[in-house]
Amino acid sequence: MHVSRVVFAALAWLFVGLVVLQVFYAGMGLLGGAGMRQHVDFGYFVSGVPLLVLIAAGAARAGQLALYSAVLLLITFVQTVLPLLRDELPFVAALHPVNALAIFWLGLFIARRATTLARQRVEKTSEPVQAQPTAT
Amino acid sequence: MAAGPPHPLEPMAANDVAPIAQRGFVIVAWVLVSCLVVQFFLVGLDLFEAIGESELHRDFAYLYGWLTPILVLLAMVAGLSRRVLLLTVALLTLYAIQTYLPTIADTLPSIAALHAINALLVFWLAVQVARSVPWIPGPSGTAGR
Repeated sequence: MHVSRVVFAALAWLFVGLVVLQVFYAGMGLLGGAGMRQHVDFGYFVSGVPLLVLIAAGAARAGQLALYSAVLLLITFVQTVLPLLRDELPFVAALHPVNALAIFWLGLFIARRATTLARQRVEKTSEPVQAQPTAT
Repeated sequence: MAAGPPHPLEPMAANDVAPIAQRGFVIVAWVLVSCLVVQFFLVGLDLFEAIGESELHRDFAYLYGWLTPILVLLAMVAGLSRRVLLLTVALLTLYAIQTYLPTIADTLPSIAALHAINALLVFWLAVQVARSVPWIPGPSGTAGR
């Protein structure tokens, strides 16, 4: 159980890191003169990671965090769809950066909570050792 | 003239201003957070040309940007903790950098590309600042975590 919680936290932080990189690629496309191809391709790759986070959350029996992970998977999927609506529903497509903010925020929230969860397990294991009276 | 008790107006004035400044700080901080969310939406509008070619994103940034120095002033007047004051100054600095980054897109494009990541950082810091100060001032006089 402890290993699965560590894996869950690691995957959640990995996802946050990938989101930051993805945002950098967006900046490179907009201001760095690199074009948006890298941002688009990397986006499809990143969008698969929340599925791993969700599976890890289930394995770690993370409770409510598993539900948040499912929401993360959902909004990450929506993120890949939004730019496709630019011609039919441009005002909806314009939510792409706002949704990116939500993905970043929720990813960060899950990663921090998952870390706490993993640490709690460690502290619980070490509690009896700490509770032992000293020899003095 | 013998030294009497301090003038009643002096301490009263200080006591009155700090709580008002603290509440002003909380309001301005959350207004800033709201403006940043709107700003992200405006990026989308400009990117996907929802309202034709426009510079709404840039113009709006200059409209609400003055909230960051106001936050620093309010933090000082309210006597907020050193940590909150430092966070607010950091927010002002990051915001200034944020407005500067697009101007170097031609000369240093890789650095200018940090504009998007810095936007995330500005938003995260703005929320931290807004959440760190309670609406009701504490009795200690050094509000803010």
